[in-house]
Amino acid sequence: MSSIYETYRSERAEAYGKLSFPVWKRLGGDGSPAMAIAPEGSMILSGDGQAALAAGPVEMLGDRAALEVSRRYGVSEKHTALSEAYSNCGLAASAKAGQHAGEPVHGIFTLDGVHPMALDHNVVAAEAGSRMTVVLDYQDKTGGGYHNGVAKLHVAAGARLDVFILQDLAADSTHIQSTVAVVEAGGEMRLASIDLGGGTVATDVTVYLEGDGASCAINGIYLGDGSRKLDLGYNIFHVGRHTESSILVKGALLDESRKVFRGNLKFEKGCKGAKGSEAEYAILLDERVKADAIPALLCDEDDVSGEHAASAGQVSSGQLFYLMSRGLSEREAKKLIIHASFAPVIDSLPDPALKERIEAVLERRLVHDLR
Amino acid sequence: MENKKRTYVEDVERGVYDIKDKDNAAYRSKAGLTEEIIRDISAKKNEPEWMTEFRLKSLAIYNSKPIPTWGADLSGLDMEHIVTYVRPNTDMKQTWDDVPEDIKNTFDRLGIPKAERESLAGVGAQYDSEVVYHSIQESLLKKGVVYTDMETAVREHEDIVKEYFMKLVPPSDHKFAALHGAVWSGGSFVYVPEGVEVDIPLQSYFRLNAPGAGQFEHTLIVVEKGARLHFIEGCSAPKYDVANLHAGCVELFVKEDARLRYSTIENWSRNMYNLNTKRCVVDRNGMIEWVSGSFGSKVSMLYPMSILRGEGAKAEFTGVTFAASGQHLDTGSKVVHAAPYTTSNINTKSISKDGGHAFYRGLMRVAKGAHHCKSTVSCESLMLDNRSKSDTVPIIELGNDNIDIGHEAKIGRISDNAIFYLMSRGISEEEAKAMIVRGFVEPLTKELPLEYAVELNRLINLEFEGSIG
Repeated sequence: MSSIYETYRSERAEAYGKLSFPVWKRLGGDGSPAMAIAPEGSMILSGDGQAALAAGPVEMLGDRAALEVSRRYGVSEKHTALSEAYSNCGLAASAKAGQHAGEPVHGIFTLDGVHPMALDHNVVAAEAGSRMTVVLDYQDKTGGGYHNGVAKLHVAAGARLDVFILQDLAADSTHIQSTVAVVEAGGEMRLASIDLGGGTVATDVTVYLEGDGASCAINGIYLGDGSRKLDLGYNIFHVGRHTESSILVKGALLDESRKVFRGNLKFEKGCKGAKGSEAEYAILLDERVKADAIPALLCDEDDVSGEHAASAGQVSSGQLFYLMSRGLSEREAKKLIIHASFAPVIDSLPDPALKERIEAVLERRLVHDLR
Repeated sequence: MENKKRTYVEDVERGVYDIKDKDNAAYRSKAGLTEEIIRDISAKKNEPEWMTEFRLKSLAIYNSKPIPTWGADLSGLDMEHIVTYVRPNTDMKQTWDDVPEDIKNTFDRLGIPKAERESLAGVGAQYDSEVVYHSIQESLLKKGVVYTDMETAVREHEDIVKEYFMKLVPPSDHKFAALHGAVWSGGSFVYVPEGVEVDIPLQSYFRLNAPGAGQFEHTLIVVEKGARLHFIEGCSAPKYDVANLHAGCVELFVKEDARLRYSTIENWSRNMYNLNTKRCVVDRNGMIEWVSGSFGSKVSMLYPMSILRGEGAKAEFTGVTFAASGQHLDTGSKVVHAAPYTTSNINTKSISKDGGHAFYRGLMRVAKGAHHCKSTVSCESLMLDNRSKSDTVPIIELGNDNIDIGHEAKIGRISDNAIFYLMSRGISEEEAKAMIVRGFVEPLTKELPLEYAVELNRLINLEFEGSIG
């Protein structure tokens, strides 16, 4: 471990001690781990050997500036401090200026009997004019696990960073993910979030579009069944001029699952010419589900264009009829419609093997759910 | 950096509203809130025992609750010094000529009697804490329509009042509802019997004159099965240095197959804290239409709420909020779909300029079991400069899957496409923009009585020299 990282950890541990866990009104509970803090997590890193970047375990990071975010972000201060202070895995990846990394940097974090707790702290930087793709992949072998992750993303001027955060945890595992990104002038960040698993899921993606012309596109899909509970938060701060953002989240809820979508689009004074949009569409498939949405638009600048839309309802009866008239059963038709809704995000995955794996998970779950 | 010229929107013309009459009150309760004061108020109104008890219970609740810390900043409120009950120098009159000269002048200047002459069915005007003038057309009286002040209703229609009074907004609801329960004074009581259609709108107008006084009027309207009513409420108060408080309460009961339209223009003076609570419950196949314009007060926290309790009930809400310099208007609407096949339609617009802060806060809740509900919510904000703030936070809570819900909101400037279309039809750019902004508030303007609509349009005096952006 670098000494810089060690110093950072002890500072964060002190802060952690002074904070308390939040009270979750909609999810219930407080997202605290039900087990002692595990000293080791499981991470397998691939794509780290490329010449265009420098990547490795986060403990080796010697750049203090990359660790400090100094802006508000995260599911809660306590949760982010937890993984900053007691990280037991995590990656640091930095694409060199002007370089294009052809292969994605892929971190697989697994919860299992030996590693029931993943507290990952990930630091990703795309330097000026570079291009990089990072995949944070959370898997679960045994169930009853606890994942609390932090991902810090920095996109320098004119760089492009594609990030995929996917999880397929067991129905009795917890998934908490705090992601923060700072995008500089002309930088572009694309983030895809695939939430198929976890019994208690709380995510927060916060993006600061600080440089002029910075942009971000966020796409999310989620699937809730059984009694899963999801709280998905997205916050975009338009600071620079002519910044653009879009949030598009699609999901399906079955059985007694519940979700709350929080979208905060904030236009800071001075972000002239900014454009932002947020949209969330939920397909509801059982009368017992609970779907909440709070798509907020906060505006301190008049020369902007901001819009949001949220809608929820059953599978479109028109679409259903059309497919059934082609010979598909109602169950098959519903499966197809949900699959189609999720397809754009799944298709964007960089690795064919990854795509296949996620498709298989989705297939298995929908077949089971739509019996 | 180009110098963007902006749409110019004139401030509300407050001339006629800000005239202060000499403080000539017959009785002023001591400042602050004690049990003694409450008993005093109740005694002076000759109230039955149950109402006095109700007030005292509310006072206890009020004392037990803290001032809310969400929404707008209420730290400028000094409850100890707001004199809660001020009675003007007159008893309630039946015709306009009998009302004392100076009070009449105030209302004359505000155009109230004219309104009555222009075919309104009845006008109730409230000056400080008592209802000064009430009249109701003969024909309505014959049909059994009751339109009187709240105090008279407590004495003469005790059974009805007891059944409904503060059942929809109980004192326990929040601190200012409790305050209201303790010191309420004045307000209108309207009872429309089964099947009666009141074709002409009933109107009430409130005014707050004495410095430091608070308005706590209670409006209670019951529209029985199959009946119809349009009720209009307008308010104004002159500007004072001392913080003024308005904690009124409006309770509307719309029974099966009945229909109520409730129009309000809130035009309180710029030092007013407007913390009004309005709520309506709608039974089977009933309908409530809210038409609401907020363009006064220093701070407003106002969220008219519709509870759709019967199958097929409907709620419609059309609102405009205009926040200018020094104003923080935190308004919105709440709808609860508590029964199947209910529908709601919410359409709000807000304009902010010169550092004003317009905040739309909405709740749309569908209960478990309220299947086949439909709702659309649309909120649009027009910001006219970047000193202002415009926020929209809608909360959508769905408790079952068999619903059709859509929500959309837009913030920004005037649409370039709309301007292009109008210009391609030969209209100049300035006129096109003026038309669009007038069109922006049109859903409200067209629902208002003429004098209010004229006021609203005067408010938007547009000098277009260039676009917003």
